[in-house]
Amino acid sequence: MSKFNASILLVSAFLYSIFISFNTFEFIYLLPIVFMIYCEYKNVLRILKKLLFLNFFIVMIFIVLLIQDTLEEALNIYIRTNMIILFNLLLFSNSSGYDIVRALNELRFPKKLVSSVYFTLKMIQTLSDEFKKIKQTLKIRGFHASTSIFAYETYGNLFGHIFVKSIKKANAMEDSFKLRGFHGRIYLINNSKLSVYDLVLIFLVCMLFVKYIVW
Amino acid sequence: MSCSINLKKVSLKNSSKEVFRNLTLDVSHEEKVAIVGANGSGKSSLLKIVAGLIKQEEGELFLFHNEMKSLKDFNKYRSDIGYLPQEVSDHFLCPSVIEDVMFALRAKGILKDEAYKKAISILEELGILHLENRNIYDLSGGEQKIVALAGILITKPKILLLDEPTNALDEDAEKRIIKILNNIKKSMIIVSHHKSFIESLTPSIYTLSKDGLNKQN
Repeated sequence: MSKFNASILLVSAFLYSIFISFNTFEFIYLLPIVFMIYCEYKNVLRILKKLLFLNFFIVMIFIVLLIQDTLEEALNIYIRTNMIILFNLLLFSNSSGYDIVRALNELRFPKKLVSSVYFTLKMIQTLSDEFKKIKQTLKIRGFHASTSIFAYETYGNLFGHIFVKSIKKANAMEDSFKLRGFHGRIYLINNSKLSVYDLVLIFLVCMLFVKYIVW
Repeated sequence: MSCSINLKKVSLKNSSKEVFRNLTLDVSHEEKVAIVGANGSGKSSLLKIVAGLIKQEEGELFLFHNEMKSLKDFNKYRSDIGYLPQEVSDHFLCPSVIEDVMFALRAKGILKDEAYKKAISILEELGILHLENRNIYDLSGGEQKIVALAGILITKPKILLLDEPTNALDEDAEKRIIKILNNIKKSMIIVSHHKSFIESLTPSIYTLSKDGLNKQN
């Protein structure tokens, strides 16, 4: 369970990402990240692994920028991109997707948007579970990934299966909408409270803006 | 005794073949009827016809003595019909147990506090109050079935349509479902493969085949 209020996480993610996107790197901007590492120290290794994986793509951008621009500019963008991604990974490492739905609801986003995000997440979860099941089946039935026609056919069947499954799930959801009187919104209970961690986090993020305005 | 559901010479075809024909069934007020049959015999489709999700090819369907000529006719009786699908995760529309159980009342325009009180009382009645704030998708199969049932019962439907309610459940969970269903006094159509389960609920057991329903002795 996350120590943080989902709404604070969402607002912090948005503000920090915007701030870092439009400013050149300074060490003081690492402060919210340091705080989050302190809070999530148990998951840091797992998060860094994810960041490392994502860096395959960020390095590509770095190389393109290096060719087009100076090393300093490329490095600046590389570091800032990593900062934004790391901060977001730290923020949401412990929260389920449904926390984001709850946060959107608490922040008074349009009801239709909240329910659309919820059903999108539900669908992603269903299909990723299905994908995991198929992967297991392939393993159990002795399938090995290779570059043969048979392997590509199997991949094709796999995606076809997921596609059909998603249509069936969508139809089943539609049936539920009809039967349960759904008319464009889901009803959530807002009962989350602010903790000291939330206050420190939002303070640190806001301080960056204050620092930018004052200095 | 007045009939809640009447099916007269109902037939269903899917794109390639006839599923069943000449199906006739009367379900009285507070009567429980169980339907068994081979895989693909159309048990789930029959429930979907009664729930107003699909239209029969031929025949007549009456709910509370009113003929349902089109799927739109079912709108008037939506809150009188409770349908538990086989794949129960499809039924859920909210992330937490209490929110999902409250959903049908909130969608009807009932205020949050009142809906909350009713949801708590139904959870208590079904013995799952301790699950109140749990994420629905973290629950076991048996718990999910009971939560889905709570979400249905909260609107006090007159008809319950249950599609394989004990599918993939262990013995304990099955016993809990039997106890709950035996305490519910409503018209019910239950589709199941578990002979012992349906025998503990009702003596009215029908077998569905291509030629319709046959009552078991």
